[in-house]
Amino acid sequence: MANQFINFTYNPTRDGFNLNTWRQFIGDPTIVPGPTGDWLSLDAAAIIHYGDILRCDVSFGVNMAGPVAGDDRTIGLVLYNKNCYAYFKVVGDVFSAETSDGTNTNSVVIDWDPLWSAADIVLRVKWEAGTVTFFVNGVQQAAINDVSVTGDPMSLYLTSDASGALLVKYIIVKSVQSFVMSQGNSNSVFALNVKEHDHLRLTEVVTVRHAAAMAVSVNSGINLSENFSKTLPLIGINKSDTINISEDTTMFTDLYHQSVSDSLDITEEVTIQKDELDILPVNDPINISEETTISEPA
Amino acid sequence: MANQFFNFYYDPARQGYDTNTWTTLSGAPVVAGSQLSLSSAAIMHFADLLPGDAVFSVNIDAPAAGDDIKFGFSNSLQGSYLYFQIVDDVLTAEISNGITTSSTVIDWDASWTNTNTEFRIKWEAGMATFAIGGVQKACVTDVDAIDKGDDIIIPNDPLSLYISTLGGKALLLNYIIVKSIQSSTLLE
Repeated sequence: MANQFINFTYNPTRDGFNLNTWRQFIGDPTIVPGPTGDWLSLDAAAIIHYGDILRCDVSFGVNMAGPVAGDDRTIGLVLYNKNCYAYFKVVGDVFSAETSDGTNTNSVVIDWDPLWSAADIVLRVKWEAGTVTFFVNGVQQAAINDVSVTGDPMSLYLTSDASGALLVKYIIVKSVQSFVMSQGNSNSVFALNVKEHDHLRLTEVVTVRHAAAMAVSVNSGINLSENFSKTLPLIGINKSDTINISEDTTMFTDLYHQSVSDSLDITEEVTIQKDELDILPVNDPINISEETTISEPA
Repeated sequence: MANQFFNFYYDPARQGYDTNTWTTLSGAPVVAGSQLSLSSAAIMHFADLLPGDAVFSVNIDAPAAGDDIKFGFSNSLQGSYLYFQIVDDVLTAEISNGITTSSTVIDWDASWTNTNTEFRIKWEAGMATFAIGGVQKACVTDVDAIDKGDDIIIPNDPLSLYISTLGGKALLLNYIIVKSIQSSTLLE
């Protein structure tokens, strides 16, 4: 009796970014020149492969900056709508190994080595029956062997919304027990559900400039106000989801006759309207923050 | 000798509704949100499977008068099938090899109503098991049939994934996962 395993590679230099092989979820993946060939660059982008893989040993040759606040990256395998996964995850400044069978989850934090930052590294996910082992540059960083390890087929999955692009040099997939190349309609449009560990970030920059010097008298008031609203088709916001809405308001002014009694009022109204909201547990965090800077020319 | 099983999944969020993979028998399936929505529509997959273990994650309303919904495996040429069926307010597990049929009533659980629920059909040689939410609801075997003096019933010809919603009620499909396929041929 012979067991036959399947092996294949993804090489941006050879394959480019092929929409017959990858589904482009978000953003625009691009091919960029690297030192020894082309790389796939993901910047505010997410892609999923059309191949359905049941168990494998996959190595991702990548280059990315070290995790910092606001980062969100995923490198590994997923069955998207069932929320099954086995992947490396960056959320903020935390790097972790994650697994889920769609119901049960597990997560192991991995200390980020500064030597990995902006360097060519190999992230390896070895998915076997009941066990997933995670390696960085050949050194085991985590091993998960519980019910969170799925037995359903998954696909290669890469996302990056962070400070700096995720550069993919190659993907090598070996020891695949079952592989079927599915097909898809790349023109179909759909909405993504916000899932656990997802980051939803809405940002806006408002700049107000005063070109002419103004003598602000005792009774003057300068009022800047804004209404910001965003309708989000969020369904099922889970406990660990984070939604951040932030705004930077910068006002450059040539004020130089500002008296003590002058008032500068900068107000903001932020409204969140949710359509089709099914579940919003009490403890879901929704943070609305604002940074307001008033500066003068030196 | 080599044992190799095929496994694949269909996820509307990844693949949309692709007519290279599915044939539309009637109506107009649409991707709504991240789900495939079928209302007064019927589709059949191009892959010929023999046999397979299929899980359909669907979201449907409780059975009611006027309903006519089927999802599972089917071969329209021979009249062979293994599927969940809702006719009016009755949910059943249906099997036919084109000659002999079997129908098992399944009591609808309110927790399934308008909730993403996995409906599983495990089709093996001489046996078919139907489960909902991980709980077995029906099991039919050729051995049992023979013991009763009946003809065998489990299909042993290739079948395809099949979803049909007549009567106007919408079925929302989250994904289909098919594993342990001994033979799979995708024709277009």
